[in-house]
Amino acid sequence: MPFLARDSALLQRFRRGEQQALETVYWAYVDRIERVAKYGFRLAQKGLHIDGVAADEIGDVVQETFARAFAERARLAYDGLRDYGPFLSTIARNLLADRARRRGRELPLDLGGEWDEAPPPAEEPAWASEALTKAVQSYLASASPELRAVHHERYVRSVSQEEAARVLGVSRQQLRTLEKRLRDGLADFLAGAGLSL
Amino acid sequence: MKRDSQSDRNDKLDALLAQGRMSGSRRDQVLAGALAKARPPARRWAWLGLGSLSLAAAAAAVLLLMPTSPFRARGSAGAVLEVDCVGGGQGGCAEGSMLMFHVSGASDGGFLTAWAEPTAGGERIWYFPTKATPQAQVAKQAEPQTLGLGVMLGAEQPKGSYVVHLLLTPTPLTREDALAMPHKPLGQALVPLVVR
Repeated sequence: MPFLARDSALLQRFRRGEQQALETVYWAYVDRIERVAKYGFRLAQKGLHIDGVAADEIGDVVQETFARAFAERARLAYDGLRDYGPFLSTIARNLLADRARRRGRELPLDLGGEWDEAPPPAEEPAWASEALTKAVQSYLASASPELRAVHHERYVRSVSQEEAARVLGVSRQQLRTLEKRLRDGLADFLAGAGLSL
Repeated sequence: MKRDSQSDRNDKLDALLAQGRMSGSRRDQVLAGALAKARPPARRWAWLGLGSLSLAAAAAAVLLLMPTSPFRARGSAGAVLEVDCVGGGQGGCAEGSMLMFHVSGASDGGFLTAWAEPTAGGERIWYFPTKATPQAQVAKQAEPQTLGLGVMLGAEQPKGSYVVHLLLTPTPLTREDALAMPHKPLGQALVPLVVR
């Protein structure tokens, strides 16, 4: 059963635009929308694809996708019967297609068809130089269990500050302090290795 | 360390720690931005135009206003400047929430300059311009608009009371120009801000 249809009270609050309900929906679907923003879409039957965007643009696409989906008209248009994920995915696809067109890519105006969300490539693109990659991994391996737990929640699971604080059993202020310690530790580690940001 | 370089450094460290994913912190920011863009401009914060008030008098006056006060700033050409924070709740903005800037009546467009002065004295916090965002352009649009540039309240802006200064001008200002108070801004306002 679709996520929102399982909880009619949540659906009603979502349709009214209550912030807490919108946040719940965001955290339920942000993984998926980040993934499609990163990897794009393909239309196998026509051999078409829409590329994802670079790492530093993913946040922009995700933000715009949810901004459009959370606008009053879009909220009220959602009936709660269908799965909400494909609706969000279609918004993201149209945004990616618009970006591709602005950059000179020729795509049909009508994007109708059975588009699939593209799977991750066999080899993920590098997110940093080899030296930086190794240094970050070394730093994390040497970090205290407490900081590794913070890293797992905030940088691997990438959950909200509120959820991470709950899981780790700390206050949000304590979590911010731990995150700062994690960042500062990495900066020191990189400096010690003669690497710059 | 200046706010922009501190934020830039944190962003780079976050990107490395996230190893190609969006960090939780980035996702928090994205959510705040999406919520702000999806809704009409909020009116939670009181505004007071500078008018003929001295800076000190205006700063003192705005601190007396409640967050839901109906006062609003209106510039000489009618532009209304507003700010609120997403994820701030009542009574101020929590660290980690995002400041969003709203402009109405910007028929000629312009550039927004914004900074915060700690009411108890201390280092001025610049929102625009910064090294990362040298210009905050406002579209030509009479209807209300929300700038796509939010500002995350991080550790570089300590808890306390501030007065946020906003100027809308036809051309981008340097920080020095802004502090010199240009003669014909398209809009200007002061707003109290409590970071808690």
